[in-house]
Amino acid sequence: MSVVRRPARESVWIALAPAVVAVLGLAVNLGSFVVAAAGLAVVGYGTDRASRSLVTAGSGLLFAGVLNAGARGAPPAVLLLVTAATIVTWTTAEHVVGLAEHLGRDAPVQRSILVHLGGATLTTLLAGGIALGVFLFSTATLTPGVLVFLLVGSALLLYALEP
Amino acid sequence: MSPDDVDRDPGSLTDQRLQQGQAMGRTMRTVESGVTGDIDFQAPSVRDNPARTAIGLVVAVAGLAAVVGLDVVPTLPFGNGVVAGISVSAIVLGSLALVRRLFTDYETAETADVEYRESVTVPGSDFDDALAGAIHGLSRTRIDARRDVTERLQRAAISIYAQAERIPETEAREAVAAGAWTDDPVAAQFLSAESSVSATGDQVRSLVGRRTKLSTDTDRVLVELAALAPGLDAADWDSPTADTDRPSAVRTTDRRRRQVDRRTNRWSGLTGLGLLAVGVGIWAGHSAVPPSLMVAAATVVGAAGYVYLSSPPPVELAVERDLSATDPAPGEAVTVTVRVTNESDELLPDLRLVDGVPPAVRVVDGSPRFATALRAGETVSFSYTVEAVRGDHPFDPVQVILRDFSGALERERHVPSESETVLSCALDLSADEEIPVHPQTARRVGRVVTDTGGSGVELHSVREYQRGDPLSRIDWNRVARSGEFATLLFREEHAATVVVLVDARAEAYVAPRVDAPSAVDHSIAAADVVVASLVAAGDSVGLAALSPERCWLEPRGGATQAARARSLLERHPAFDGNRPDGAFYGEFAERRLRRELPSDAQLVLCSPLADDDAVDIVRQLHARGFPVTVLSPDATASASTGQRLATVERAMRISRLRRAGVRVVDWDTDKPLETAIDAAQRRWSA
Repeated sequence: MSVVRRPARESVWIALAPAVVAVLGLAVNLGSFVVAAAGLAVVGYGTDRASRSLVTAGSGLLFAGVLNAGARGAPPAVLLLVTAATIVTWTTAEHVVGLAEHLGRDAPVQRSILVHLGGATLTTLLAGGIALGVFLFSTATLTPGVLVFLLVGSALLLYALEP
Repeated sequence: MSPDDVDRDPGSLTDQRLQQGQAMGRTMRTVESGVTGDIDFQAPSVRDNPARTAIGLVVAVAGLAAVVGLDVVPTLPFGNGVVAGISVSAIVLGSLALVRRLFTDYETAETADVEYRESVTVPGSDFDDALAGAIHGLSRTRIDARRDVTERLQRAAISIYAQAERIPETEAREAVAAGAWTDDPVAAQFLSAESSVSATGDQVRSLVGRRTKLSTDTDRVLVELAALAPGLDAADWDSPTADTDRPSAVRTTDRRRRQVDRRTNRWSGLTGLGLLAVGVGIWAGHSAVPPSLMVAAATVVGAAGYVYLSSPPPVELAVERDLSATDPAPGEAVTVTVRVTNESDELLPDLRLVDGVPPAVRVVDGSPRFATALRAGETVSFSYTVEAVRGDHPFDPVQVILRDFSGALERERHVPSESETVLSCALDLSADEEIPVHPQTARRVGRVVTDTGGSGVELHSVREYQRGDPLSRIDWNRVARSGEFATLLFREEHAATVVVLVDARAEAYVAPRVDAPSAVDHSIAAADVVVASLVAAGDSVGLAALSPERCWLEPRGGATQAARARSLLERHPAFDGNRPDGAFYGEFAERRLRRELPSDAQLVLCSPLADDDAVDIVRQLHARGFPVTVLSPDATASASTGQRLATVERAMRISRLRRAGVRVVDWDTDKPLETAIDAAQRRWSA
């Protein structure tokens, strides 16, 4: 009996499920779709090979697709979905790789992966949903000034919460 | 001296030492599991950066207020330049944060390869490692590694050639340097003085997936060396294995029980993503595009909050372990079931467990590892199957790795089970083997037929009658024929004094595969058979170990002696299946053994002959009048170059011993011991 420190096939599929959602969501923009599809492939290969750097690189491609779609005017609801899906993909794939490094291919790990996936999905969708709600129900027009306030505020918060 | 001391059971002293050792072991375990390692741990908190958090909150809330219609944002003169500046600096900062991630180490626990037996190596694996280093190593070290491999092979070839041709080493060295030692031009050239294998060419070959010239050439050399070794045929060798999933050597991390809390740095760089979204959003928003990227940034902020809000999970776990069999036979499969209960009031979102499989035990089915999420009060169980091995094997505590929801905080602990689990396994061997020994005997009646004439069964000689010869042995036929009195002499049958010596040095922990029983296991099984059958045949038998752990059982006869020897083989620390750590000095051990051995004793050594020290010890003892029979379980493999070299070297050791008059039983462990002994006996009587 040997320990193969690579994930089982099923774990890789679970990690890729949110990435598929992200790629489908990014179909609103052809360029984004192509970049994200490449990202999906890299994440899949990296997860199977238990390589953290490939997982991060692939998720980076997905996020590049998100930025491109956002800058080119994709609807906020779609962007919420694909951003959440990208972050969930990355954290789940990393989780799967970490489990593979600790426990190898043969250990039963499905429940742990699903719980992680569920937790990350809920949190990201919740935070993005609140922001989306604020925008959908806002009455005032967004001046560049307001936008700058919002964005700089988020940037400062992000910087403060750097984990 | 008290009367008790005079008539002390030789086993009791060892038992006392054993008990002391076990008590010490228990104490050490308690001390170890109480150790708390470097716990430097702080959950991330807003208090880490109070100023940034406060300003960020104020600015964001003002922005939100403006969005819902309150006029709190001053109409600052946001010109194009200012907006572009903010945007660019957000993008640059974000990129910097992402770059910083590249230089952040990911911190996490390491888990040991508990599936394998820790104590076994495959003979020749060090040469294989050197060869792999010479082919795949870093370019700086490759040249040195290559020279190292060639030199090792040269040394081996010189000593093998010298021994096979019975010539001095200097002559053999010249022959090898001149390439005169073999007919194969490739092998001769490889070891000759002007050998040159192109390292660059090999690199290209290894890149395109072909075997390198270095490995094909070393294989050619080994085929020629095998031709020199008696009793070896290179045609029987296994083909090289390409099974990468089964390593020939174990990659084991140390089993120190660290109790650590750590931040994994898993999410570092997340800020970078958010800042990038913000920067790109400001840039795009400036040209009046709907601010979708704000939502993206908010989602990233949400993820960061997720990391920030999670708290380190409590470590309140109860572990129970059950074994499917209480008294298994060696080799029997035992199912281990581990039950873990979350005794805290909180959900454990990420719980990873690695069971503490005893080092000498190997897992044959299932995985001793498990990951799950565990609600408060919930119990999970998992099971796997191990192979029972002789001796007592207490389980180590379970290694537990707990993480919070986001995986940013990690706690590593070692939780012992509520009651100590021990896999105990007794030797289960019956012995009525006839073990051939040297005709060096004590003056007691036994079963070894000697060359001394006297009373017995087999006719030895006839001599002139002397007064006092028993009437029954007078040759009455001769008296009738010629009237002369003559006495028949029969071969006397004496008992032998035999000490069975088990090679349990670190060097003897070898096996043809890492997941196979070690040569020491085979030696111990063989020793048990030998002791029991010699005792049954009326010989007096003792037991000793070649090991840093001293083990000595005075030679004796009688039924209890076999039981005493068996209890030592099962329980003594020298035979517990763990590779000994302490240093072993062969010369001291050999001298001490000579002092302890009765003068008429002979030895049966069970050893895989995996190194030259074993041969030296045997030759010393043999030369000093203690005849030795070596019973050698064959633990060599032949799938790789190093393993083949080890096979050739062992064959040369056996040949060296046989030349010195030592009897060697070469035991292929796939076959029963009797077959090997029968074959050896035919050889000795031929």
